[in-house]
Amino acid sequence: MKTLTHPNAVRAAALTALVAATLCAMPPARAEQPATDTVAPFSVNARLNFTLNYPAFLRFRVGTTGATVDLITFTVPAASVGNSVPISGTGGDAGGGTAVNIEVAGNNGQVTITPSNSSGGLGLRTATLSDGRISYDQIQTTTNLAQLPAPVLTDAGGTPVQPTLNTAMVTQRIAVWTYSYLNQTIPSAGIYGGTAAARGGRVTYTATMP
Amino acid sequence: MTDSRSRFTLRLMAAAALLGLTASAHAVTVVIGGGAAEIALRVGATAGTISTVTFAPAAATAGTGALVLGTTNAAAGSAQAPNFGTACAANNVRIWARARAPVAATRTATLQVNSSGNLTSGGNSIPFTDFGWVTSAGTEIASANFSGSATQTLMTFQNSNEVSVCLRFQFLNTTIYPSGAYTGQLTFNLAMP
Repeated sequence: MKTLTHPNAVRAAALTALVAATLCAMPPARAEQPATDTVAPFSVNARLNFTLNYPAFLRFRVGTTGATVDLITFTVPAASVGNSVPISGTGGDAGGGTAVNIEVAGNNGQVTITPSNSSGGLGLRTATLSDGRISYDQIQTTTNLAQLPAPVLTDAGGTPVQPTLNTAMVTQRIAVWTYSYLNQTIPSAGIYGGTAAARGGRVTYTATMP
Repeated sequence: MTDSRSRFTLRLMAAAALLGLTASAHAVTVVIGGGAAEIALRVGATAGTISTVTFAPAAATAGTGALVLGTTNAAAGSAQAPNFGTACAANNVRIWARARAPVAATRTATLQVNSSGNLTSGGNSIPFTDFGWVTSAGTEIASANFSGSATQTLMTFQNSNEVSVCLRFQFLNTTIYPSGAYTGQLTFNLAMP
């Protein structure tokens, strides 16, 4: 691509002009002509339409992106069991492992996030049923963004929350939810919950939008 | 003598025709012969058709900043005879402007675009500042985004010239909008004193 300023180019331009002049002598194909103005001051307009088909969507992320399900682990030292000093978790993708990144985006109205769990309403248990349960009431979740609150977990699931709309119909919020074990009870020793869903440790957050 | 001049003229015309083909493929500014003053402008298809550029963001990437290239039909980028005989690449829009006057380089033509409006869908809107273009053929109009001004200058050039560029429009996709079918219209203006 170039502008014709080289001497050879000028000659080429002159020749091109000669061709143009020859073509101009032909009957004009009016239907193919762009907008033209021949009266000073000269001004012509041409328009161009844009159309954009914007989809309705809802995106939701809890923790590590992709198919990974993060496992938050709380380890209570024997000397601290039941002393009501909260225990931070590990295994999350934020806060040095104590937390998870949350992202929610949608564009068709108010989003609602509802927690549920795999405990059948009974709380976390070990591999041995006789060990008893730890209630989800002992798992506290906090958020770093008021516009994207964290649901309070319960054995039944928890309390739904609604992120604040950014604009009419649109939600786009990013937050970090931090988990801690409140350590207010003395359960029997054991590993509660975990990756085996039957032990009640799997929390599922479901985002919905009209 | 008459026969000799005729033969020379024919050879010159053949050479000019060859040069014309070369210019069509590569040149973006072509000097044209002076003549009665006039300007002409084409944006997209010819024959009075207003071309449409369509954007379709994917749900998975809406609002992420992933550029969304516009699409249009072949007519929007068709050749502009006689100096621009090669069509633009697929989905490009041809912008062609011509400014002519009896004496060369005495007047300056200015091409501007009015992008002060919005695309709308019901009560929702998307500003044209969320759109831009990549110049895929030509340098007279640099790749840029719409400013939202009613008088955004795209290029200036002196008579007597024809300028043609091919633009691929794109949606910047940095903001989430309510779903809908949005439409809007740009107006380009070519003016010369």
